[in-house]
Formats: sequence, C-alpha cells, structure tokens
Amino acid sequence: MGKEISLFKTKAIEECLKNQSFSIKQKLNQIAILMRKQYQVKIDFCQIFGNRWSHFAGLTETIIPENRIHINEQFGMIIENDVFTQAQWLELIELLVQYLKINNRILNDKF
Amino acid sequence: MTAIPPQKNSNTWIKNVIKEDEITKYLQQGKDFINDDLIISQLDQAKNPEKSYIHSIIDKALSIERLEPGETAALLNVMDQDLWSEIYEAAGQIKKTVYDNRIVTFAPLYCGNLCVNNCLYCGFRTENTSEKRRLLSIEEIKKEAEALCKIGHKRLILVYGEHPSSDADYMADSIKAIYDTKIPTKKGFAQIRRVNINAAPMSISDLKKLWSVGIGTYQVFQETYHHQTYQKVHPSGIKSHYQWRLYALHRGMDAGIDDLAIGALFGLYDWRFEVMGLLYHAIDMENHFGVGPHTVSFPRLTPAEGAAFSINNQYQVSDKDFKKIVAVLRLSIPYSGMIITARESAEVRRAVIPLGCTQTDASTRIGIGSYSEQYNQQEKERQQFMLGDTRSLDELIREFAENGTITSFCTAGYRCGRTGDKIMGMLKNGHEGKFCKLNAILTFREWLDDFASEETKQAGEQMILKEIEEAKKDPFYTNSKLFSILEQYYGRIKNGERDLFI
Repeated sequence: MGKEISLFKTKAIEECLKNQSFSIKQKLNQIAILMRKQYQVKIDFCQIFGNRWSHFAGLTETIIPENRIHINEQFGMIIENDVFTQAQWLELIELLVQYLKINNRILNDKF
Repeated sequence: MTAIPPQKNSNTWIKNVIKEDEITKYLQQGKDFINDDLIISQLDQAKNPEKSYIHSIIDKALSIERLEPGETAALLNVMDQDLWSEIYEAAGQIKKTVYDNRIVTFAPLYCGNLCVNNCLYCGFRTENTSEKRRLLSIEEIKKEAEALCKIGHKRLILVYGEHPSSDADYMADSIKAIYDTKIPTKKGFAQIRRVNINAAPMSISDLKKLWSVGIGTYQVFQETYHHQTYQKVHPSGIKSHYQWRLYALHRGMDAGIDDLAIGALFGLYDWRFEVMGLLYHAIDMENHFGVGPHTVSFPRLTPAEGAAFSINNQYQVSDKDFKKIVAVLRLSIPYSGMIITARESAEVRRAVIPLGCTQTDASTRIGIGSYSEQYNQQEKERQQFMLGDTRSLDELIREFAENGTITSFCTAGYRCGRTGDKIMGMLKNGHEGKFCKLNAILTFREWLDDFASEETKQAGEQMILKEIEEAKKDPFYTNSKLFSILEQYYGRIKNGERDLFI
C-alpha cells in the first residue's frame, strides 16, 4: 500500500514540468528519474496504438512490467514496484494534464 | 471467391504513391547510403584476412557490438574452414546471449496477389498471366485468422501485393479484423496477438494508419541493394524506384513504427554484396534514429511460376554459402532478430537455425485463402513461390523440443514498451534474452495445454522442466522478483488463465 500523502507536488517534479526548455519527452524522462530516486518506483512512458505500447520516455534501465496504467487512450505507463494507490497515481496524472496537456483518465490494468 | 476489384483508377493511384520529399529528406548530399563502388572495393580490399584479425572481429561480435563494414567484408572473405567453424560457433553463442535458446514461430498470411509491379523473379508480377488473381475480403481474412488460431499461432505476417485495392486503408482494416478474431479453445479462447506486415513502401501518412491500429513490425525487403541489378529486375511499376524502397523503413520510423524489418532476396546479385547492403541499411537506421532493424530476413530466390529469372541466373546461392550468409549476418548485426522461413527445406533449416535464427514459420501456406479453404497441395498458380518445408507447427515444435530449443509464442515486448531504443538497449546488454526465456516458458505452457498432440506434449513437458530449472539457478531471476513472478504466472496459466506476460 502506498503513502496517503501528496507525493508528486514536490518542488523537483513541478520545476521539471514547468521547465520551458525541456521537450515533453525530456520532462517525462526527468519525472521517471525523480520517481526512481524518491520512491524506488520505475516508470516508462508509452504511446498506445491498439495492442502496441511503444516506448516514448522513461528510464534507460530495465523495467519488470508489473503494472500498466493508462493515462488516457494514447499514453500509458509501464511500472515496476508500484507502491502507490490509485488516488496517488491520479494525482500524478493531474499534474501531467496540467502541464503537458494530457487528458485526465486512468484505467488500472494489472497484469 | 472475391471478385477482383475494378482497376480503373490504378494509373492515378500509381502516380500519387511516391512522395519525392519523403526520400530526399534522408539523403546525404543527394546520395543514398549504398555506395556500390565502395562496397565492391571494401570486399576486394578485405581479401586474405589475417587469422588474428578475424579472431578480433569474432570477439567484438561476441560482446554484442555491431560490426563495421570493413570487418564484415573481412568475414565474408574467410577461406579457412577452421575459421568458418569458429564463426559458426560464435554465431550460436551470440544468439544464445541475446535471445536465449528460444525460437519464435509465426505464420504468413497472404491477403492478395494483385500487383502493379513486374519483378522478373516473382509469380505475382503483373505480366504473369497464368497467376490466378484474388484479393481476400475482410470476412475471408477473418476466416484465415480463425484457421491459424486453431493451430495455435499467435503471431502473423500479413503479405500484400502493391495495388490500389490493397492500399493502407485495406491493410489497416485487415489488421483490425485479425486482432478482433477469437476462437474458443480447451481453456478459454485463442487470438492472434501480434500482426506484422510485409508490404510495399508507403508514405508516412499511410504508415501512420498502420501504426494507429497497432501494427507489430513493418517489413520491407530491398530485394537487392545493387543499384544496377535492382533496375534490371524491376523494369517497371512503382517498385522500379530504388530509393523509394530503400527509405521505406526510415519513413516507418518517422511514422512512429519503431519495430522495423530489413531483408534482401539472395540470388539476385552477389551474396557478399547483399550482406554488406543489409549492414549499411542497419547502420543508416542507427545513424538517423538510434535504432537498428528489429529483424533481418535473408530469403533465397525460389522457383516461381511465370518468372523465368527465378530459375536461371548466375547468382543463385548454394547451401554452403547460405550458411555463411546467416553466420556473418549474426555476427555483423548481433542485436537483430533473424528470420528463416519455410522457403527453405527442413534440412537447410536444421543446418542454419543453430547459427543464430530467432524466428521461423510453420504450418505454412502461401496460397491466397489456403488456410481456411484447406487445400494441402502447393498450387503454383496462386503462390508467389514454392515452399521447401510444409511441416506442421506441431511437428516442428516437437523437433525443436527434442533438440533443446523451446518454441516461444511471446508477443510481450511491443505490448509493454520494449520497443525501439528501449529494446535495442536490452538486446545489447542481454536483458531481453532473459525476458525471452520467461515468456517462452509461459507461452509454451499455454500452447502445450491448448493445441499439442500427445507426442509433442511429452517432449514439450521435458523442455519446460529443463527451462524452469535453468531459470531457478540464474541470479538475474532469483535476485529480482522475476522468478517468483514466473512461478505465479505459470501456476495461473496451468489453471486456465491465458495471455499473461512479463
């Protein structure tokens, strides 16, 4: 079970999302690194087309795909060591929506 | 039988296919990446290579590093039989490191043989009047998919002629129809989980249509990389444009499809030149996108009805040279999958699979509609070429199991983000091979329970036990959660759950 506190509204993540000089891909790469460092959660971000989840951004290291979370119909996250609750994931997704214009919708798709 | 659609708009369609700006954007100083004179001189200069130099190249390949053209040219010039034995051994080791001891199976599904091109070696060529022309309707494609599901196939490659009736919209509809097809099995249902495409070069906007419906791999063979030969064997039609074809996969990458497959048809020109061409293709993809080819194919020219060139030409490749082609490609592009098909005889497949092949087809039929209509004889007038091996999937799997190779029906990678540069990194560091083993065990378990004959099931059970024992001793699995996930998923599959993957 994950912590029930506001996890993602940290200075580092917000700064990363606000950074005008980063592309979306660079921002998501940075978020994956921050999540890894702070919570030991590994994330890759994918673009979804039908069955295909194409790698878009995330960690360079190998991830065991324990969990897939749809951000919306076009984007999703591959996750290892998912310690967060659905409410906490929604919080992250809201931040992504706010800063990256990704629509807010979550479908938890446990393997 | 489906009527051939009207062709009144063919000429307009043909004129609009090629987009010159989607070629020139990839050229370097106006030139493509195949410099015929350079390749010929590299092959000449590499004659009589020192043994120590060949050893250093083998070592480099064993560290899963892609070779440079001069190094591949040296391998292609090896004359010493002992050195060839070392190359063959290294090829097998590289395959084991990158992909483990699994082989992935698939089936080709020919959707039509209408074609505007006139390739001298191909049975589908427009001037071949003895070919029975047909394009499957979407309903007929579903029937083909159902027949393939009943055998237990999970992965298809759809093949289309180049024709306005089988354009990108038709391809997208056929992919969707196949993904939607389900048939009941002993436990649950069977479904095709990955649909790959072998089709003519397309524009970026057309390729996006295929991406949007979840294409697996997009495969285009250059046929021959030698410019002059290319013009000779493709005298007319869209396919006569060498560079439109050469950059088909670059456009695929720009359209978002990051699993792309190269190939050459060996026997059109000197085989050493074609190996160099494939390597240059991989290098140019790496240079542009940081991602090389997902797979490499190396079909040999096979006799085709109505195509005299397929029978008589000076560049036909012997079985002995074919082994060299496979091994040198394995060393040159060590991270790529390699596909050997049922064009080849069972004997040749047995000889070259241990040299690094990662995928093969089985229960293969290449006539249009030939899976659902249940005709067993090869029919030359509705096939592109003649097959060398028509063994069933069950027979092939049993033989693999008896020889220590596990058959994998894994389609996990492209469904969990192991694509493009992500999977390239994992192939190079050996991690993908570790996932291959686990997904091979899980999908083989499913197949044995749902589709195997009793004899094959017995051989397969022993194979699975051996693989699980190996995994149990590997720290990569035991030091992470992977082994416990394997045990958990394996139990769930034995209890009837399907399509669990890691």
